[in-house]
Amino acid sequence: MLQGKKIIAVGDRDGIPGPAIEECLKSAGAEIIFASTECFV
Amino acid sequence: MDLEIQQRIKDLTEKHGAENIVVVIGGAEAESAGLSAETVCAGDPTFAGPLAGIALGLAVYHMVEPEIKDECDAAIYDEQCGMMEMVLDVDAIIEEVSKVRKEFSKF
Amino acid sequence: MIKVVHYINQFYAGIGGEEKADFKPEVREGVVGPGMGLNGLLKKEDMEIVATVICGDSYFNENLEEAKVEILDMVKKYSPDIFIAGPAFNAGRYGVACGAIAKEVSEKLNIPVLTAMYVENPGVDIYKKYLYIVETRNSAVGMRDALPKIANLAVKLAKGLELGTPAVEGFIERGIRKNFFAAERGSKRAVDMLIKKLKGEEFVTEFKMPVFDRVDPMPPVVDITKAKIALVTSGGTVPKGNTDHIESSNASKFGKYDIEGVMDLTAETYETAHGGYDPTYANIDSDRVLPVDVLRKMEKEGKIGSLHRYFYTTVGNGTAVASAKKFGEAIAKELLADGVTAVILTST
Repeated sequence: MLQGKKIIAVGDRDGIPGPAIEECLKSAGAEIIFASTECFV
Repeated sequence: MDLEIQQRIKDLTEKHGAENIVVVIGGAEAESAGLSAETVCAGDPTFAGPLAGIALGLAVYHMVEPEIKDECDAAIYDEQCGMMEMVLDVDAIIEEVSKVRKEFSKF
Repeated sequence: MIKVVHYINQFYAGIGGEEKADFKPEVREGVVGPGMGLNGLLKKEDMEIVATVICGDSYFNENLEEAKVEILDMVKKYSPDIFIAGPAFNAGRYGVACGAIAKEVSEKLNIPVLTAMYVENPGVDIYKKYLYIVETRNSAVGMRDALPKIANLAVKLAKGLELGTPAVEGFIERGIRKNFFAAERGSKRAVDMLIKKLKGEEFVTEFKMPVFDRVDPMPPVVDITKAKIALVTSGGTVPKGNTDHIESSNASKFGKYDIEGVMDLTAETYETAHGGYDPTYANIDSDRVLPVDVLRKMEKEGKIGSLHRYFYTTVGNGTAVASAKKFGEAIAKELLADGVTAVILTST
């Protein structure tokens, strides 16, 4: 499903952070074009 | 969703084409995850950011949803997300995000 | 078609955050920001936002009179049937601006108005008795809940439809009492409520108790004989003639007066502006409210370090808690800058 798709990772400091999403999706063979981690106030 | 991130997503969508993008979010709760999801499909529901009134219709999933989780290497997923997954209300998150996706995503 | 004019701040207009809070009033045709969402809901009822007024929160609050005039002019041009401000959620200056401009439009243009904000927003206490304020959650996360509530109330107000209770319509109680005949008599309702309470079940009170703020006291003064003491009062003591026109009730300002060289307040030189007590004895001798004479004596005897040369005064009668808070903060800032050690605050 993710083949050939470009991934944008919007992580959450209190949930799943950006780098974690990145690592997981890299292992799925996906191309990550942007990753960040938000903190909700 | 942070205004700068909204702008980046807007720019990247213009550059690569909405049909080629999948947004994966990591929101800690169903509500905040739902808002983020809605922002990238239907437009910023708080009307505060660059995506206010702009429905990109992007495909969006939460990291814990099977459609994403199952595509990843199990060991790496466990290492990166295993702990958090235990603390998050996974069912509520999946329910909220998939609801938003079904209603607003075009891809 | 029913015409709506909408008021928002610089943030929701996408102009900027705090750094753009000095944005001067500007009007744009049609919708901006949250107006997009609101308009979608209003259009179904033959209502439409024809213009949006944008103003920076700091500009509005720091230039109250000019801003109100400028904005009123902009609003007038569209001959709206109803005016909506916000939602401001918990943003204090935005909430106060919404309340102030909605009240102004209501009074000068005689059209229905409404605004929306979180119940703890200072704008609520100041304006709830004049305006319909839709209750929202405490941040923009609540936008999706707020817009339909605002739209529903706007439709009813614009069309002159009858309103239900605040709870039903979603606005904050304005403190207006309407008499009605209850289905059951009071004694039965009271007993039913008591039984629920005893059983630990939920019940709805017919009369809400006010919520009081608690303030932690500061530590005691280490050496009072070296301390610079300032006098502050909500008893309304002012120089004779009340040249700054501090209001006898619902004060909108405080005064700062120089008592350098003043050893005693007399009937010729000072009086009280307070409208909540019999002023006779205070006017004969204002030291009864602001004890300058006693403190001068103590100063002479070395019992205190010194009496600060300025005293601050306002009238506490019917003054909004939010105003009192504002005055307190401003006065405290000056006292701290002047090296005051402690304050004697008198009331009535």
